Amino acid sequence: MSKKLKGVLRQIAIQLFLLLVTAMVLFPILWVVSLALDPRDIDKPLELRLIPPGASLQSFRKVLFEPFNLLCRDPSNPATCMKFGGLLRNSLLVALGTSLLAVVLGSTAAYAFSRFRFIGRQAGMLFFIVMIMLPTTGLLAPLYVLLSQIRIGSEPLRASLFGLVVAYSSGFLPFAIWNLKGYFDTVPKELEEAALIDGASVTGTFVKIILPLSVPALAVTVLNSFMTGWTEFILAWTFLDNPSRFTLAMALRSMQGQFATPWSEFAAMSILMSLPIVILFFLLQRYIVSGLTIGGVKG
Amino acid sequence: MFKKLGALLVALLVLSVALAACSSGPAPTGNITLWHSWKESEIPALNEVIAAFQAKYPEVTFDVLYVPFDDLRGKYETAVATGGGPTVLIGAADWGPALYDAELIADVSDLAKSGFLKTINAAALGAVQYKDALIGLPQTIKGVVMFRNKQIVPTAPATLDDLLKLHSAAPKGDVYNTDLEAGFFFSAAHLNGIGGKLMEANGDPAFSSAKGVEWAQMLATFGKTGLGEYYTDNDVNLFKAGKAGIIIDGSWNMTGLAEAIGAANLAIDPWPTTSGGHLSGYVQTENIYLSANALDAAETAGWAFMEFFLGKDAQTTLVKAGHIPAIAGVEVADPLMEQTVKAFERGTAFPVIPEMGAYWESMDNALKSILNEGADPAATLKTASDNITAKIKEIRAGQ
Repeated sequence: MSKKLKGVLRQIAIQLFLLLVTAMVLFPILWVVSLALDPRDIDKPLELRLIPPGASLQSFRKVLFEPFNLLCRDPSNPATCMKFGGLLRNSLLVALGTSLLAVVLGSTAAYAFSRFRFIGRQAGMLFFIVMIMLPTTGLLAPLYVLLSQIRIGSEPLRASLFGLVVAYSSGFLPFAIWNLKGYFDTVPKELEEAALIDGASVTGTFVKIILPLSVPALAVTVLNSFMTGWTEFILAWTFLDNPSRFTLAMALRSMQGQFATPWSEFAAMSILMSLPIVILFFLLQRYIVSGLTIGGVKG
Repeated sequence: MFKKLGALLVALLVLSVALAACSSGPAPTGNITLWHSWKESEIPALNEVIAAFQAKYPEVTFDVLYVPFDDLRGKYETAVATGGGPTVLIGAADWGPALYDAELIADVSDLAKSGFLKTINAAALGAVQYKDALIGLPQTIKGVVMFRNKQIVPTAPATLDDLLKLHSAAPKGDVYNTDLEAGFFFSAAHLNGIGGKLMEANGDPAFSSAKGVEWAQMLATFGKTGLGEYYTDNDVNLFKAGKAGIIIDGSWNMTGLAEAIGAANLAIDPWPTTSGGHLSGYVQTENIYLSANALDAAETAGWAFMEFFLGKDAQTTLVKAGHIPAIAGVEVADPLMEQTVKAFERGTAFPVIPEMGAYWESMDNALKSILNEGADPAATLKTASDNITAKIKEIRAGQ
């Protein structure tokens, strides 16, 4: 067998393997799209057809414009039921709040762990690694008790969207600190020293030198923390009591009935819910994959 | 004149004291928080019951919260354990014993009058009697039944042989006569139906027997001779698409199936007879519980609502939501519901004891081995029985 033929066969094998991987990745997505278009409310397509018989956008219309009749402040009054817009607003508040808190607290804490020497530094980092391994639901009971003790006006912090942001951030921060600290360690100290010689303060150096150079790590933190706040529903369903504060993830969960699920609407809602994550990923993509510190010292 | 007025005042005083003595206690007031996981189609009936209660007791307000079924128990346990939570919970029957052992629901035996309890279906009442306590009230009955599409299978199979004959017949194109579910929850009651039993009254396993082997072999036949399922929704999907004539599923899916194939085409048949008895399905209740944190006025209001919920008017209203009444004397006009009630006559009471928790995993593994891998039924059931006995010991040690 000639060398050229071997190369062609190798290329064909690689392409076939990649096609198989692509099919495996795309199949569940196409399945969900097919279910969303299927008006029969079945949990899986009965035949391999992307466009099911009687396909319609009815489920998207229902999810987007009709009230969620299970999520009402007063079930006897449909006007008090949540709609997609209200749920989207709450989800954005929670996800963006979680991202903001994770980036602000995570980056400052990570910088301290990266640059300063203090008692308990090593133990602190080890503690964060242990905390990363704990599932958020494992912290459910202590968080519930703690956030119930703090009251804003007449109601506990636990029952507010801010309480949810605090709970999510507390679960995500160990990863954010660990991840950002690792990145800050790779930023050359000479850059900071040059800034300090030029008269910048430590805070100024952190804000003007370190943070701009750490955009890739910050982008990862923003994306992951946003996804945490956007998709989590177990803590949310345990903490919140007022439907006007419910999120999209909670609404999606509420569609999953004990005995029956409106699969078309469930699939349509899943597709709609994934769009902001996809958009955010595309916005942050170039930061996530790029290495901004290359050439930062010389040249 | 003054004498007459005085006598009138005394008479009024005596009358008011007598009326107060005759009344059942203070009228309910305050707020009732109700948590449930009902379907959207059941909400109008729930609203109607609440409105009727409020018409009777205008001083009572409601906060009603839907929580998905899989999150409801966890949310309730967390909230009540920390001093909060709802006044009243509508939840599964098998939550009751664990919630009561954890002191999260109240024993309402002191609140319930015997006359009131006599109106409740005796079997359903058994689902809320635990350790000499009344841990709630059964608000509806539901269970596993056999659904039939009359257009595909015009006549109900009267015997197991009839059913298996339909089952083994070749499909007409992509339309099957039957798609039979053998998942443990859906098939365990057949064992009682044919004269065996899953467990003793105290929860100890009793299925490792000749009847147990007969039961396992029968389930294996379902998969070997025709289309069979083990905890999948394929049967429901095919039935909804008009491609399966008979399936075994829960009465809770009655509305969805009727909508899919047309109520006129749907039948719920009595379980077919066998040589030693008949096939069967688990019959269970859904209960309404009073929170352990509901004290004083909240207890009065919560219990008043629970009693009202089990009243004839409320139960009649709930029939509209597809709920099979838990009390006697409620008219059920819907033919499908009538057929369901009839099918429940050959049903088996679902065991509502903590020991049941020891059965699920071991029985699932045993049935899968027998049905999918052809394992020896007698030996497999014996192993499962031993595993369950060990798990039950752990459960009892933890109580």
